Amino acid sequence: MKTLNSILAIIAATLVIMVGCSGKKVSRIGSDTTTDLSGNWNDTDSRLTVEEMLNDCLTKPWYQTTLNAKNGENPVIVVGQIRNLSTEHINTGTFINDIQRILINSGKVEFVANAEERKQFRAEVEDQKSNSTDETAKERGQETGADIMLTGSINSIIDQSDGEQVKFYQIDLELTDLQTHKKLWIGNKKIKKYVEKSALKL
Amino acid sequence: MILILSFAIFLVSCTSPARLRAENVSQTASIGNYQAGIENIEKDKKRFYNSEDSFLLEFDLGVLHHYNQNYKESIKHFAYAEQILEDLYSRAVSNEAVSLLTNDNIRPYRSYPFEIQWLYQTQILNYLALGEIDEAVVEARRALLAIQSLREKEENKFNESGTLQYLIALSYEWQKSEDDARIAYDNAKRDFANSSYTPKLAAQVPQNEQEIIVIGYAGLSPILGENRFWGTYAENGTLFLHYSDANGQNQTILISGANLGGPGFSGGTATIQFAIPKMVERESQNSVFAVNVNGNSKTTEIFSNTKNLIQKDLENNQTTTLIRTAGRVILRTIAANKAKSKINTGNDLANLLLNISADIATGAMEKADLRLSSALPETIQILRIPVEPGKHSVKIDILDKYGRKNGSFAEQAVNVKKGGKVFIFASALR
Repeated sequence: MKTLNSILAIIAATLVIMVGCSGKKVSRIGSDTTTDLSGNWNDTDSRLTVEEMLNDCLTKPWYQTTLNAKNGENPVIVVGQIRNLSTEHINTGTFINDIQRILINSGKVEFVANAEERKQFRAEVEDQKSNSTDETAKERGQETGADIMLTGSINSIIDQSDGEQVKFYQIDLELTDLQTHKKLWIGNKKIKKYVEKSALKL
Repeated sequence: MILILSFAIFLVSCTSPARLRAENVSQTASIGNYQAGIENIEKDKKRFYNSEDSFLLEFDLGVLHHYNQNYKESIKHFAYAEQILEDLYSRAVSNEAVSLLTNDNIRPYRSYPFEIQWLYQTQILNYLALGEIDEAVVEARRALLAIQSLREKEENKFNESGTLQYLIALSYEWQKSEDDARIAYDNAKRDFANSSYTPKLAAQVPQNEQEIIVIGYAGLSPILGENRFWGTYAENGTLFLHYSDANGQNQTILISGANLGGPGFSGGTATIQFAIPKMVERESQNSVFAVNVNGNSKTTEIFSNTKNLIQKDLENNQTTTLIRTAGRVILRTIAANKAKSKINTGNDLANLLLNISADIATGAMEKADLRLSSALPETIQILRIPVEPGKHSVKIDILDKYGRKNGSFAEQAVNVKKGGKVFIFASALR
């Protein structure tokens, strides 16, 4: 009977603890704060990757060579496909926007719209031909052709056992000359995370 | 002790609405009105799902949106369901403790292994339906990680899904990741062989440059009902349990005291009764699909039968569920008997009423965990039709098990690009 009473006492105590665990708290944090909750790819990974890789990219010899070849004019870049080959549904759109923002703000390169955006813009120019005044309607065939295409991929390798997981991400970016198809720059960034999950919680 | 019993009774007063969920599916999805099924759930979530059933809520909505061909919504709900499972990895001590006193329904629903595999299978199909190949492959990789976790957890009991591996292979194939596709097709063959049934399409994988792939869902999957057990537990001794088998014959099994928790259960002889889940089949009128492309007709091939998946997962869990439930009921019955022995109101009639109330209360606490998705079909079927690039006319008829036409879907024009695949879904859950 003593054993039985002990079991019931433990259960009763647990019920009391259970009642105390509830509620939600929200606090604002800086957008550049490093946060890791689930161990998944997050905004911090995207930001750090882009900053680090593009700082490397702009200091490499391809830039000066291209600048010389264009008589000092900034190279024009178009973003190609950045493929998500990882185990997470990563929004590569925000990643690409981060890349473009940093490169444009550097003042060293120019960007033109990508293939999808160009379709939309061309439809608008077509529409202007029929509906806008002659003075304001834009001409076809006046687009700036890109010199270089930026492509890349996000890969991941996961090693897991029980509640432990090691996540390894490798982000590859490359610049290719659109005329010669020569690779001008290849950069990569590696991120490794260790995630541990507890089997029990209160 | 009376207080604890009262609190436990209060906790179990919210019964599992499994029957309501099954009725919703049979009244809406089975006539093809998936939207109504979704709206019924969205309007009154709390009636259909207890707070511990959040995985099931998201899973069922994911399945119903998939049938409704609203793939983006389906993806969203399955992603929520996956996140819930991830969060449930850590077991709450509080829930486990309360379930020791009441029943398994008090614990968050963690799903059966076949449901987890179904989740990834449908997510892959959602992305393939949208033509988002890289995202389908992301889901394929996630599925492989989930399979690895299930293998670790379930060990040799794990019933690995050949259909899931086949769909993983299909997404790799479309992505032109040939090595990964080959490995996954081999895995699919292995898994089908282990289940003693290999579809022809899995044994001999077609090499189609362009193709129309029909995924069919026919009939209604089984749900869970209660299998009642009754018996006597002798102090420090053996538990004699009786139950009715599938043929209605009474059977008896013996469980030693050690298996029920050892010395903790000493101190009394108890007569007990309880129930654990058993599979209950739902009658299915639809059996297979006849697909007519440009005048040529072929029938879909069954890849998996949900009845077999449920049966295997239930069998794998049965011993653990039986021992846990029996142990809990014995503990509670002994506690109730001790409590009754201390009750003396001085009035014989009042004492009798209190004793009967205590018996009813302890009996009411034990409810079998009948949670399971009721939105699944009896079978999932696949047909791969090689075609030339261009437009094709596709007409699908629904057939019963005798090959008689039960209904049909409107004819549709399908445009297949060079090197492309087009997925068509046919859901006939009746």
